[in-house]
Amino acid sequence: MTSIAIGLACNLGASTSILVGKMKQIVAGSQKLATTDVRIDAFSASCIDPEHNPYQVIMLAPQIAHREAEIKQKLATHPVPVTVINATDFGTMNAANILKTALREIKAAEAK
Amino acid sequence: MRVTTRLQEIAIRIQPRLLSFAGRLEANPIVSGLKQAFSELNLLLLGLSAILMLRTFNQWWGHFSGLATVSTQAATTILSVMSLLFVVLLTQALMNSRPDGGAITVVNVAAYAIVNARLQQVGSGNPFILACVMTAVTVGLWALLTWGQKKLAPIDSQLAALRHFLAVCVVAGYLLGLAWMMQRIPVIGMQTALGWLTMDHPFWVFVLVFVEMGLWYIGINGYGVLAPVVFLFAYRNLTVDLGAIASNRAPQAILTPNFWDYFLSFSGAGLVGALVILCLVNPNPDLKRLGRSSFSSILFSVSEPILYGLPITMNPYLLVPFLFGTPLLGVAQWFVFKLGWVALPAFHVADLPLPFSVLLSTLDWRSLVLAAVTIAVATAMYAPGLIRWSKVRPADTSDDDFTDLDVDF
Repeated sequence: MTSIAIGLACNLGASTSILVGKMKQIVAGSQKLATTDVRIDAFSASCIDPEHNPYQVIMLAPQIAHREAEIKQKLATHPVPVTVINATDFGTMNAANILKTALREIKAAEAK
Repeated sequence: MRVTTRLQEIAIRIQPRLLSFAGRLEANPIVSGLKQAFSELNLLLLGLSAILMLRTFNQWWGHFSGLATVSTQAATTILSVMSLLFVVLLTQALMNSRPDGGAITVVNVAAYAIVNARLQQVGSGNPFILACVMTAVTVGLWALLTWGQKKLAPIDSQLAALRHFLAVCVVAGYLLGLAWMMQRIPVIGMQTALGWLTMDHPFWVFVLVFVEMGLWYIGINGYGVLAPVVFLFAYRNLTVDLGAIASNRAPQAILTPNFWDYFLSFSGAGLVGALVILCLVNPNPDLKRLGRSSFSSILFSVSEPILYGLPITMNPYLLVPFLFGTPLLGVAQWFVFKLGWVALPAFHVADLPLPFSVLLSTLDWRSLVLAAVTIAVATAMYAPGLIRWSKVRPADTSDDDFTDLDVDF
């Protein structure tokens, strides 16, 4: 069984926690992800710990897009893809698109 | 409309600069340290509020004769060490697990205590601001004195002893210097000058909400950026109110974290619950869907889905009510509390959903009326803009550009 770990960060982890539930629903309904152990967590951006980062991709909510450079810098010693969630997808809680973006980022990082 | 166009032009022009500024601000160690320290202090304040709520309930209904004395003792003791705890948390956050962190924290607590003791002789002041200043000075001094220290390592035992001796001299000199300075500074003048800095004034309420909405409008989490600074005042006001309740006096300060979270930002920043209501009753199917999907989030005062989904950010149709209407409603709410029509939001109830947060932070049923009236006025305020926007808003499309992925959703 393969595994995927996605981290969603915002200011306090509140708005992204709503998204986590919707993304998990998509995962549960997907047959192609049935044999994959998918972990999705929401947290405050301040809690990102480069030494103990279990995530293959960290997605930032658009309201903290201005912290992208700071977070990339923080993770410089243990780099993982850091990306800002598309504002429209985030606003409309389009969990499918956000999950696809995460999978694409992980795939691109693995291909490097 | 010309004003709106002009404001929109300004927003577009300053957006990149503000994004960059907000990024640098939030990366600042003092700002992030403040955020962390307040977040860690939150649990204690919630516990303290729970104790005082129990005390109030007991005054209303109960007959546990000992509870009043015990709760007062507990509350006053906790409040007396609150600022010291904040100094510890802030220093720890700034020192970020460095080897000298413990020692610097102890020195900073001593330095804070020396300055605070003198300030307490002439008035209450703001212990959180003082804690912030003292921590910046102490940690800054430490950073200056240890500049380039890594280059000196490894050092032999004699040098280590010398360095330890010098450190003792520096600490003694620093603390003695502070005590000496505090005897000579005209503290009363300082208190008078800083006394008005409580932010508990309609002008500051307007400025706070206006700046917060301005940041949200260009897509930045306004609350997150402003919180570390505003909390220095709001938490001070909260502890003053809790102290008043503990000693059977009426709380006086309105601008507390609860006032910001549950009244100024009722249902989310910008009173967006009103927009969710308008979306739900709008004939546009996309808006109706958005209203339904955002409804649960506004119960927890999470505004991001509607802010980015409608969107409100960079939307000239909603600019004026969002940027100016929300602060004006905030000022109106401040006056409602000031006039005593509703009990002050003095109990800390962070993260409770609506309507419990509103009710429990005030322990007054009239707060529900205030919230209902606020949301009704906000609905009327947003309605013209939303109706115009619903007629020109592009339909939600789901452009599937993920064909390279082997997924079934």
